Order: sequence, then C-alpha cells, then structure tokens
Amino acid sequence: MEVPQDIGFEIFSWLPAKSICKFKSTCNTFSKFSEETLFRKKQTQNLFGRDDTCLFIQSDEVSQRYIPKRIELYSLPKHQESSGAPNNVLSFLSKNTTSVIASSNGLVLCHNINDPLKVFICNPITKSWSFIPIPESLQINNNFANAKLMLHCSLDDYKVYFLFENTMEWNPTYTCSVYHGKEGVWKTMERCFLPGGRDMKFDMPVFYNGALHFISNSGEYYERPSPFYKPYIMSYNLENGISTMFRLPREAIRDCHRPCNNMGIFNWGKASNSNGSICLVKIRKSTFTVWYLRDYESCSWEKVFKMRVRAMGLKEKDLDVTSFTVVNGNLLVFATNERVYSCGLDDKRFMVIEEICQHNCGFNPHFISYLDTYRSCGINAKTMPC
Amino acid sequence: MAEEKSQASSSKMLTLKASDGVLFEVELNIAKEMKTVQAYIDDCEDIETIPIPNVLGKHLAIVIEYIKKTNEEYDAEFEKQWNMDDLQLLLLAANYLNISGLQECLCKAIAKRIENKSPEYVRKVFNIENDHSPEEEAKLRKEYKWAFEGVDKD
Repeated sequence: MEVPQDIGFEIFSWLPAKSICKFKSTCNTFSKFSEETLFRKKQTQNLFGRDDTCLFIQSDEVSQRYIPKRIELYSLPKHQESSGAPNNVLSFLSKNTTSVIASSNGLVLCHNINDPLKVFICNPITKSWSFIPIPESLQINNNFANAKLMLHCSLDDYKVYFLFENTMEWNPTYTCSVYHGKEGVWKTMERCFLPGGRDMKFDMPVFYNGALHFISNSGEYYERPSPFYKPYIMSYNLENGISTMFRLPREAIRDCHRPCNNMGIFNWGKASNSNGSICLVKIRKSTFTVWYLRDYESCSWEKVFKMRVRAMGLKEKDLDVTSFTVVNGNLLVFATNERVYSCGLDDKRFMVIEEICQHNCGFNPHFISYLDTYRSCGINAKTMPC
Repeated sequence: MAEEKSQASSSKMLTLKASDGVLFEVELNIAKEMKTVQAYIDDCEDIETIPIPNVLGKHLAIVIEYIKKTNEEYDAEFEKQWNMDDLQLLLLAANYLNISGLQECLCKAIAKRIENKSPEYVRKVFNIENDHSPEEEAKLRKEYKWAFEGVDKD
C-alpha cells in the first residue's frame, strides 16, 4: 500500500530530528522534507511541550576555562535510539570554549566563556546560529561577565533574560533586560529583581506561573529575627516585576545552617496540564528528599519522595553525590564522581534507577536537557562553520 | 416548517455505505465530523445514503467509534490495538474523510512506531522504492552517521 506524499510529510513531522535525518536515505522525496520551511515549522510545533530526550553534560564554567572538556550529549533512559545531535557540532562548540546555558524546544542558548558578549542561540540539527546583538548602551552600564542568563521559549518566539547585578546597595538588586528573539528587540523591566539578603542560585531558574523563581543559598549569614535567617525562594513576576518571597517546607530548612546541605528547585510535572508546579530537591547525608508545591497561593508543600543513595544499588563504592537536577518534571538526574544516574519520580517509573553514562566532568557537572527539533534560530540566523 | 426541520436534524440519521457494501447508520452530528461527508450533505441536502468508496466496513466502524468516544484518555489507548497495516489504512480513511483529530492521532502513532527503525523498514512499511543512486545514499549515510547510532532490528 502506497502512502501519498502529503501523508508521509505529516507522519514525518511528528518524528524527532535524529529519526528524520536517518530516514533521508529512504528515498529522494523523504530526504527533501526537512529542507522545507513549512516542514520545519510543523515539526517544531508538533514537538513543542514534549519531554526532552537528551542531556548536555559539561564541567562547571570555572573548570572549563582552565581545562576545557568536550561538551557531551547523552540520551535519557528509554530514548537511546531516537535522540541525539551531530557530533561535529558538539566538537565545534567544545573547541570554541562555549558553555551551554539553557535549552528549550530544540534551541540551545550558549555563550563564549572567554568573551561574555558573544551570546548566541543555536540549533545543532540545522547547524544554524544567531548571535544576540548587544547594544552599546547595555554594554556600558552592565557587567556582562557576571550576567545571569535564562531562556524561555513559547510556541512562536523565544526570550533571553539577562539579570545584571546592581552592586551599589548593601543587598544587591538585579536589573532585568530581555531580548525578544522574533522581533530582535531589547526591553528592560521597570522594576528590578529584589532577591533579599541571600545569594540566589541563578543556575537553576524555574519559569512558572508567569514568574521566574530562584532558591537562595543556605548557610549561617543571618540571625533571628531577620527575614532571611532561613533560606527561601524568591520569585520575580515577569509582567509587573514584583518580587515575592516563598517559604520552603519546614522539614527542609530545619537543619539548613549545617554544612553539606544542598537544595535546588525545578519544574514539577507538566506545564501543559494542571499538575504542573515547582519541586524542591534536597540532598543531605546521602539522602534525597523531594517536595512539590501543592498550592502556590498558600505556599503549602507536600513530600513525595525520600530515598537513601546507598539504597539505590549504584555501581561505585564512593557514593558522593555532587550535582543533581530534575528533568521533564519527573526524572531526578544526579552525578557521583564517576557516573550520571536517573531516578524516576512519577508513578510510571517511581524509584526506578538507571545509569545514563560515565562522565569526566569533574566535581560539579552541569546538566541541561535537550530535544532535537528543526526550530529556527530566528532573525540573524547563519550557518555554523562546522 | 423550517423550525421543525432544524429540530429534527440533531437526531436525523444518515447511512454510510463502505466500499465492501457494509452499511452504517450514524447520527448527523457524528457524520459531520467527517468533513468530506459534510461537503456531500451540503451539496445534496436530501441524501440519505452516502457512498464511502475508499474505506472498508471494518475500518469505517473503527472511525465512527473513534468520533463517538474521542478524548485524551481514549486517544492515548486507541492506537495500541491496531497493527501497522490497519494504522495506515485508518490514516488513509481519516485523510479521505477529512477528520483532523483522527489524522493527527494516527500520524503520531505511526511516527512513534517507526522512529527507531531502519530506513529499509520504513521503505517496506510505506511501500516506497529507493530512488537514491548508490553514491547519493552512501553520501547521506556518511553525513548523518550519528543518526544511525542505535537502530532497532527490524
């Protein structure tokens, strides 16, 4: 039974990019699909909101500066065959001291470690990139070397958020300038982000409910009755610029002033359905605990997971967990000194442990999840020289 | 007179005749989900039996049931019951009858089933000829070598 071309086109537009590339050798007609703008747009839209299937693993930026290591891309469990990106693009990025900052719907936000003004969006599948033009006025007034960058994609546009520290105050505040990819314009938010007295963990931003959320560090910097005595979450409303403090679960912050305490916040569940929320992951004394924010308005948390690392049946003897993240709102990914593992947090694969890879990214590897699509890098997009 | 007609139309029944002669009596609002049938009705108002020449009775039955029951849960389980041949025939039916929800559901399902397979498998499934020259094919396989890592055995 022969399938008409337009049906083949439709079916292919639901495939991840790696499969589409593989099937180019099927026949001439199929090999040309991915060259069409309409096809790329369809495939991007069809895959929007789908779970990420791969993981970028890199050393932290400080290490990268002195001992540059290859940016590695590994498949998440159950996606070994269908997902990936071209090796030569990864090599190219690695050679040019690039750091991957964020990824969404197939776009990857990067910057050059040695030249912080070189910030770009790229798509490893289409081998295209688009450098973000940084106006002189922004360059003069802000320190790009210390800027905190975040990426957010909607269906037809992307925004890159830059937070610049205003160091004149005792408690630093941050000016937020946003680059809109579709129009190629910059807008600066009227109100600054006020994170309060503690440092924020800007490397784990959570976009939720129209606001950016960050968790603060822990540690003994304050005494009672300071409002910053315990660690907290601070949100920054992206519409009106208002900063709001969220308290953390009591159990999580009970012993927060002791060392060896590590907490992070991540997206929880699916943003598309009403189960989406924020989760808090804490690791202390080699035990992972996860809470999710059951009610945003009243800030009530519910514990959903607790597991000792020793009980996970991992290969190595030295079970020092260094970094962790939650991917797709339902998968805990963490690293020991040698390997990266995943642990299911949702009903389907609750507490199922799988090994993702061995890594040589040192003490504090960074994880960024990725899904291979044909999404356009927007205006100014050029072909990557690789 | 006109009022009576519109009141009756919601429970008006229509007959669809599949390619192998099997007849299906369906409510008008079900039939209207098939845009091809809707166009037929628009053209000839008084029609009672509509021929569906491209679709077997077996598949028309499945399509009608889909329209009646479709929701997120049903769609998620729907495709699991059918083999690849049936999925393709159902997709052709949905395409002919112009039912966008069902088309999307089936395209997604077929894509999911082929995504880890080899190009040879895809050619077999879609019954297509390899019209690449050996040099072209070798070039593509080399350029996209990374995409061939981890392919299911057929």
